[in-house]
Amino acid sequence: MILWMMPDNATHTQDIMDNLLAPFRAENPDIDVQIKIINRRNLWTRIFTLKHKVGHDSCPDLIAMPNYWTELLIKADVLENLTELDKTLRVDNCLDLLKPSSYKKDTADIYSFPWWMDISALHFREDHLKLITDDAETMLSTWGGLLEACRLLKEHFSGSEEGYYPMQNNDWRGSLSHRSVLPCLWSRGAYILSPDGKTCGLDKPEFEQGMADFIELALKGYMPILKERSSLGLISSNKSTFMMTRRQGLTMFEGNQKSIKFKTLPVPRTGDNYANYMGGVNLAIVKGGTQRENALKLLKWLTQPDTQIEYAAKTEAFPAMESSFDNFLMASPQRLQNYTGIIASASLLPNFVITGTIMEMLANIMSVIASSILMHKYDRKILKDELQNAAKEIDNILRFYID
Amino acid sequence: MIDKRTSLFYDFYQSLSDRYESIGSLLKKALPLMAEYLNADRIFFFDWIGEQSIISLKMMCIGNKSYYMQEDVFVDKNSPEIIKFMEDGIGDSPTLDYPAVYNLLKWRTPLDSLKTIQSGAPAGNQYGVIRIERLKKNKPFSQSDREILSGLCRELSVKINITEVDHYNTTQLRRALALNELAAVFATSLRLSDGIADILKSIQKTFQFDRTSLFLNDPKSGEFKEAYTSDLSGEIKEIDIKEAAIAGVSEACSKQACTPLIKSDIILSLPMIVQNKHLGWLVFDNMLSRMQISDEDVLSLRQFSSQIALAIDNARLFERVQELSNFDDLTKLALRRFFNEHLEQEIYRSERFNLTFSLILLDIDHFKGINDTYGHAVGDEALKAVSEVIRASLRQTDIPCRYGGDEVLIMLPRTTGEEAEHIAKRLMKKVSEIELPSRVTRGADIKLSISQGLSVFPYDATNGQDLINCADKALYYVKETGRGNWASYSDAIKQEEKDKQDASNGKTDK
Repeated sequence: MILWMMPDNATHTQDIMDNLLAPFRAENPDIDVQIKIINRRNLWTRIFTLKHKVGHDSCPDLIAMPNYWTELLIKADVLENLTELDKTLRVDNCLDLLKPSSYKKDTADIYSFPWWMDISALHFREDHLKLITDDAETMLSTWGGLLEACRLLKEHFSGSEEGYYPMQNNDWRGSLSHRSVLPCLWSRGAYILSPDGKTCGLDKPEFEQGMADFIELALKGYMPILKERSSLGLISSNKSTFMMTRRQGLTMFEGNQKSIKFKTLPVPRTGDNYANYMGGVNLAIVKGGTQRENALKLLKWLTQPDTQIEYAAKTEAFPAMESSFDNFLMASPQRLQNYTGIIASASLLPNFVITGTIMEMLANIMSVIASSILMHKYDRKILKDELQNAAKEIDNILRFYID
Repeated sequence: MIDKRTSLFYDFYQSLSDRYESIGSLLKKALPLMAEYLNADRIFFFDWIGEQSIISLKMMCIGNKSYYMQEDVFVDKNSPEIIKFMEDGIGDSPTLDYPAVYNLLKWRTPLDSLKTIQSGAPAGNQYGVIRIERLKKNKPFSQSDREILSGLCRELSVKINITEVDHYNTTQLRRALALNELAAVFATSLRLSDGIADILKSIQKTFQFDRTSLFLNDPKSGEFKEAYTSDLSGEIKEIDIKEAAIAGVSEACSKQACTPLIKSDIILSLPMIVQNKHLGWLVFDNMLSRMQISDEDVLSLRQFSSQIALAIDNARLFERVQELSNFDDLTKLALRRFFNEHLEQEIYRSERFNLTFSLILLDIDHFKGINDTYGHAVGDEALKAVSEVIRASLRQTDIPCRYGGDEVLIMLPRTTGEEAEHIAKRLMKKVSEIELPSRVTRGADIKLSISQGLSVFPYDATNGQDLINCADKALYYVKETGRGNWASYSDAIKQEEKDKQDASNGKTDK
């Protein structure tokens, strides 16, 4: 059977999965699990070919995908109804926030099962912050405070650290990350789609302002953009202080640099409230696959509490099941302390047919903005025009796909 | 004696001697080999999209593990480093602080070759970029390494070209089969509604767009008349013709444009034209997936659209023939045969579901007088005008029929006697408001009125002919009692009985 998954652990994904699956393979020697690693954008284009089965690749039996794609893949008639396959399957034990993205809208039928999730947070080097403030927590509670900290740190390191940027860029392409911007938008009260999924919020003033807040990081030269990532210094070296990431980053930061102390806080608020982005990955069985029974077996095995904890730990993410999540959080006092508040202010992307499309459009807008900054052509009008054009197009798409 | 480098190239050539179904599977085989030959830790393959200043990462290999990627990375194509790289075909990374070399790949796609044949313009090239890295080993690439890399990249370019040609041939074959399939469908399906569903399904299956929509023009006005779509769920539904504006074809429709209209790289609109008749537009969009519509698709779809236009034209002709055999040409009202078929169906349905329906039989008062006084042309105009009023005043489910001469019989499904009386009243009023054009009447003031008889199923009769006879009887009664009015069969019967009673009592009024 074929499992399509994203590079959850970058270049180590295959090894980690092989390691994780060893007991499953031992228990089920007749099931040959082949793993194909496909990054998110490539996966996005491939899911649209699954229905017609005309692609050159064999159809996967099981896929791991962002949970907000569920409704889209149900609409495309690509996913198996898991409830029909196994009436005992329940998501009752999963975290409440993750449950809605498992079901087909307005039904009790499960189409995808929560596997793991992660939450955005601001990680930073305590030693660097001590150079500019005695109260990092207060300073980093607001976006303005974060920008001020970046300014002071850039000034501080301008002579001593070549290629220093206060914020490490979390985007693989070195672009402006369209997922990292979400807390800035939500904190200002902006939304990509209204709760009923009928109205697009990209052309609203608070959306533009939230985007502008995030863009400031690149505009002011606090975060590198569109550079070969490997050429840049990392937070664990002396070339960066902050990183906004959805991974806990504990091993990333502490693994090789035990002498350096890292701290984790919620993403600074741009508006009145804290907002953090929770991203979930669900497992789903593909209709065009040939090994439905085996896929179901593997899905159930991967989502059992112990396996979830093990994989989450290896992925620097969180398990999706409530009991596993609690155990995982409690197992580390630091993790518990860091994340209790962050989780309280976390939100997910809504599971609508067009959410994935909007995120693709947002990624493109970010690319346009990033290149215009690099070519010194950026002004606020570019952002406004991009958002308004996108909003018009989303309104059109909504007309086609809204029920 | 073969030297080591030649042997390596031969080994590479031999290892890639299989046929690959896609560039992805070719790269999965080739990249780890290249990394091994050059003792590199990591190797990347990018597509070069020069016009957009983008290199798009497609695959990354570390050891023997391959990662399928799609990440667009911005590059400034006008920067001196990039210009030099494009000239030299090889270059070091300007920013990485460990050994990394880029090498350009160049090949020609089948579509490029086709364009050259069609236009005679010099063939363009497709470009790709390989990057090899010694991240862990940190050993610089020697001149010899670079020469080997260039040699391997040349071989890989040839192999990519072959794979693309294979892929193109397979795709074309699949599309040719789809076209044949469509032709077969058209040969067996003459009804437009069936044809539309088959067209949309076949296109979705072959081209996999998010949506395919069909906007059909009204043959007379040239304006959009109806539109259908099939989205990724496969469901086919009728849509609002206003959606044409989204594809940008509303304006093109009014201008009778006949060239493909590409609004953006995710929406394509193709006109459907047969013998200079503009039948409508086929619109394909990937608004949901945001995937670009390829030149290859545009080329194939143009073939499809001509076939589809022909099929639609045939279906319309067939429907027109049907219409001529069922409807009266002067009044556009149904003919008797068509009416009788529907009357039988309505009786069956009403009996089965315990429903009621009504008939109205009407004629134009003094119609013979109009013909005799003003001529048949005026009589025809009067008949046309009354028929227009009748058609405009009824529901889509009602069936008016030219029963004979100036007599019109109307079937009103699911209509009680009381509701039918309202309709009769309305018709009477509207007919009285008709003003025949003076060019026809030559200045004469002709006032029109109608007389109507009503019957109701199942109260007045339970079979078609009896029900018509009842309406006729009621009409006769109206005509006898002064015209320009209406009466139900039950009224007529009551009055007849009363008249009989009166006559027997010697108190007849008439």
